[in-house]
Amino acid sequence: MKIIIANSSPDPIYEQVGKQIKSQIISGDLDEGDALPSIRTLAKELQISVITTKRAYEELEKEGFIDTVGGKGCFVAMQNKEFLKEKKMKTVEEKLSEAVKDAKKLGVNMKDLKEMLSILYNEEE
Amino acid sequence: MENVIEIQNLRKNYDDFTLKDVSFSLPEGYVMGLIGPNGAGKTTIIKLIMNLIMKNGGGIKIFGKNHTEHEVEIKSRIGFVYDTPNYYEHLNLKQIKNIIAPFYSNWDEPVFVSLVDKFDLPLKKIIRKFSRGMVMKAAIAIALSHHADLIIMDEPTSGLDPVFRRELLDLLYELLQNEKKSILFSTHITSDLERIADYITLILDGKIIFSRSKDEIFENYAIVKGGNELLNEETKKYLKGIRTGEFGFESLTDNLSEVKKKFGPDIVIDRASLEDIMYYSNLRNNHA
Amino acid sequence: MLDLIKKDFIVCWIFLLGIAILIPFITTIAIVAMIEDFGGLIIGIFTFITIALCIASSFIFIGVDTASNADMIYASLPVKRSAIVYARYFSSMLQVIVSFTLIILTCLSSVYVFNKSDPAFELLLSLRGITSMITFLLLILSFILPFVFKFAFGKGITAALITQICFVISVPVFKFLMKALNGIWEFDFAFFTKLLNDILKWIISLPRVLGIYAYLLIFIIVSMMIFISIILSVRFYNRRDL
Repeated sequence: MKIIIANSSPDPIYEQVGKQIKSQIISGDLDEGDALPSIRTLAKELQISVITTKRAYEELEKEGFIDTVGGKGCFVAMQNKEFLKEKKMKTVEEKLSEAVKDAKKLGVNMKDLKEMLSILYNEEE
Repeated sequence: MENVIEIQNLRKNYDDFTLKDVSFSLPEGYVMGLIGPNGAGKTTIIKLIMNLIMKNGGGIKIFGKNHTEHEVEIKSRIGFVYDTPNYYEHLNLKQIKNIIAPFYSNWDEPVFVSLVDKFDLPLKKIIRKFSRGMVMKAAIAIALSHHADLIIMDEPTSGLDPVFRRELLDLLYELLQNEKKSILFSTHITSDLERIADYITLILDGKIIFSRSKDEIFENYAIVKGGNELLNEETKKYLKGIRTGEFGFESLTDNLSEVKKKFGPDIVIDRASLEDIMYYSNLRNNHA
Repeated sequence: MLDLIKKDFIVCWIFLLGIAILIPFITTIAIVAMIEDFGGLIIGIFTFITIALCIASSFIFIGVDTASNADMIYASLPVKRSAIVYARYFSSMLQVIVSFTLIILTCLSSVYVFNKSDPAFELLLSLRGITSMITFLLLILSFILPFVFKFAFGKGITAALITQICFVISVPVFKFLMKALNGIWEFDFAFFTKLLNDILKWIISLPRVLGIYAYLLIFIIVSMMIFISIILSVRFYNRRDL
């Protein structure tokens, strides 16, 4: 597991932690049933407050990414494939919409954008 | 969740200073930072908790118990570091340890030895020859050597170099791995707190400005910058302490979402550090 | 509480050692000087020196603690403030008695070892002399300590000394006033003086009347005074802001 916190980021720290764990679950770096570090260990490792770590885990639990087993700690939740795919698609969508926003600012039209996308898509092959 | 410290309407009168209606609580397992400029009343609050001075009103409960009725039991579970530790200057650290250790039934000699070793403290050198930082380290070593459930430290990092401040932070994180341990410390060096504190209590002029979780504070407080033309009676309501200059104003808000609505897109919003919050709140306090 | 007493001796042992050397030294000088220069021991001066030495040395613990601001340390340890007061009384009284014993031993050595004998020693070294001195010392200590616990060391000692000096001064002032007033109003104040004198004489003659019971009476009175003094000190110290 890898988590890096940027103090200069406008995002609150609990969100940064949550996002990074989430993306590692979605990408498959963290598998179903994998144990996550305890709240207090994570707080110590990242040198952030306990309450912040707790909140990050709570949000992840609410979203169904992790399960808390009383007395044992937190584990990556059983994900159904559809759910995961949906989540992954959502991140793709988010990134694309960001790209579209930037493109619009620069006055790039739909046709050019599509062309750019197909070039990029083919390059990745 | 149980509160280790519960303070209600605490009051203390001095000739030239009054601590008014101080209320806050610290849940078990968390860290609270008491911040405020010098002379705001941080030390007074800590001394009241330790029953070193008598309160004029209000109540203090430590571990859920009245702090004077169960004084001895409570103090045996507290590790206390006073802002200027006064040890006998003609004695060495070992002698001072020998004086203090017998008072704690769960004094742990190996822990003390390892801390002294970690902090590079000489056992046989007299305290007079210690630097201020070394005396503070000695006080911290003593406070952490009897498995206290609550660590109370008054300005522990003043006089310590940044390297040791980080080491101390690591040590405190280590302590917090046990979820029964709680920490209260006061400081005016807020950068130490921004990392470890779960709750922040800001005191100005003997009054509590706020006592909230740090995340909540950073979500709601922000630095607002913009042109002077944006300031009017309506918008000023959302600002706490305003610094105006020829080219624009800088201020602090505790209601970020409202400020975004009221001021529109022509302002710059920056993350507020605890230092910013302390500075602007004090500014308002002095001008109000 | 035992730890609190032990701590006094750990902290002050070096000073105590100094005192143990200084007391016999000063006492010997006083004895020799008085016998050789004045031709005999002056009980008044010797008593004053004894009291000064014993009381001053018993304040070594409070003095060192105050200089190091140690009140704060002990008050934050898991002990009751009353225990701190009890311990302080115990070590101070112990130190008074030890210092006094040192002075007595010095007197004995000057009589038997150096042959510097003096008729005054007969009274000083008698059971009556020793008892009254110890009584007096303990009473002074019980008088000063509540002031110290109320106002902290510096202020407390000053307040106690001023009060004591006022007592001492009040006697001649009272006498003077009586004489002066007598002159103006020609009223017989001598009656009061006589009454006071009679009462004093009666108190002094008590031991002869009561015999061994006098010592018991003194013991009870002193114990009561110390007891009252401790109660006052605890009450003061419990309320003091450190």
